[in-house]
Amino acid sequence: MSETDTESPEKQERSRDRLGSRFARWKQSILERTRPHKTLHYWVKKAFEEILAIRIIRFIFQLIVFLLLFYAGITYVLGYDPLLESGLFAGLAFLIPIFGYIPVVFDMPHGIAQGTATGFFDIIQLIGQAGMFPFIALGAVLIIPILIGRSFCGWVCPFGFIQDLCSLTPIRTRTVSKQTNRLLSWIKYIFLFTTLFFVLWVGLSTFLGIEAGLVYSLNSAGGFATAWWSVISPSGTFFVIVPYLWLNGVISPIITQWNPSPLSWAPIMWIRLIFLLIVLVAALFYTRAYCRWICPVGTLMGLVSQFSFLTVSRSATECLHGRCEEQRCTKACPVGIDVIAQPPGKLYHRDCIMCLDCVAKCGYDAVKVDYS
Amino acid sequence: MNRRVIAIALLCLGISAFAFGLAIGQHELVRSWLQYFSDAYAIGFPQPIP
Ligand code: SF4
Ligand code: SF4
Ligand code: SF4
Repeated sequence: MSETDTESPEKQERSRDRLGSRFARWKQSILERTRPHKTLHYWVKKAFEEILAIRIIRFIFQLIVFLLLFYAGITYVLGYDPLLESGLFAGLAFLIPIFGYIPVVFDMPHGIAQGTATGFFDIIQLIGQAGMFPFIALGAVLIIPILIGRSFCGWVCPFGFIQDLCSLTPIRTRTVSKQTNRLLSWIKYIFLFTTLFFVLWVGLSTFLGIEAGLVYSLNSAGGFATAWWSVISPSGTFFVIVPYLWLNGVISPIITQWNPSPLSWAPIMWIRLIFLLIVLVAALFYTRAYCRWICPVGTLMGLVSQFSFLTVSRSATECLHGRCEEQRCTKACPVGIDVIAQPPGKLYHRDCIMCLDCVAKCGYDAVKVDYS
Repeated sequence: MNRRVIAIALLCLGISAFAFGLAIGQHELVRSWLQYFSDAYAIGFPQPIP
């Protein structure tokens, strides 16, 4: 009796057994056998599944943009563009103004002093504080995050890339508790709304012709009334000011046309450099610390991207809801989103930068990219 | 569902703002600024750091 009971399902299974499922089981058994020993097969599989597929492509994207932006900083500093002058890219010059509306890939040496690298955020400040309404830039703020979420943060932003590089160092990255995270997240809203307040205040007073005395005196302290955030933006410091210092012989004596002693720098210069240093050191210990807690550009995009068509989506049926061995989706998230704690289905989260690390790391194919 | 409606509304608003900005030539302003800065390249920056 017991024999027939155990045999019949086996028989049924055998009859259902096709080449495909036998192959799948064979593959599974190989994987199970090789996994503990971490053989070449294991590493090749890991490389293709987890690294090459997403991380490397993202890395290449980020690297290209980083080099472009750093190059732009250097051309600004040199005063001419060697590639453009060589005629190699002369035909592409018409693309330059377009870059201004891409969220982060831009290098705008404005006024005499501040180089910035935050794209539309600079333009919102510059146009707004000049007393106009920044139609195109605000249009871009609405269109881009709705269509592709904060993908620019994950895949393009060179300052995000620098932080990703920082987290690759052997220093062990730490996590923060939920309460601390929530508390620190206030900082970025404070920076964003202070900037927008300045834009409104200075913009309105310029528009109405009322003199905003304090603001204009702030301008002489370093251009705060021209573009509040751009004056201290660490990405501007990194991509424009640092190349400037470097090429002008302050950091290294390559060009010595202008070589003042650091002691003669304006205080704002020191503030910029110290702010950049703090941000970079923080990124060594906390992945994407600047993006999570400070950057007003990402924060502004996040306000819109929570309605984005493009998100990741955790399947309610395929996900083991944290009962999988390591809860790798949550651990992989560089911006500290507790993926499991979010309701299943599309993940609408202001902080999600669409890096797809959770997609790559979940071993159960439970997290997917969703466009709907 | 609600999110979808808000997303489409925001998208329409964004496209209108973008188109209106282009129509009134705001991109030319940015272009002229850039032109100003590239002209500044040519003459060199007298005191580029605050
Ligand atoms: S949050 Fe800011 S710094 Fe971070 S990736 Fe986005 S735009 Fe770049
Ligand atoms: S790693 Fe995958 S299966 Fe595990 S909780 Fe995350 S999404 Fe679910
Ligand atoms: S939720 Fe996923 S895609 Fe979004 S930031 Fe975290 S790991 Fe990246």
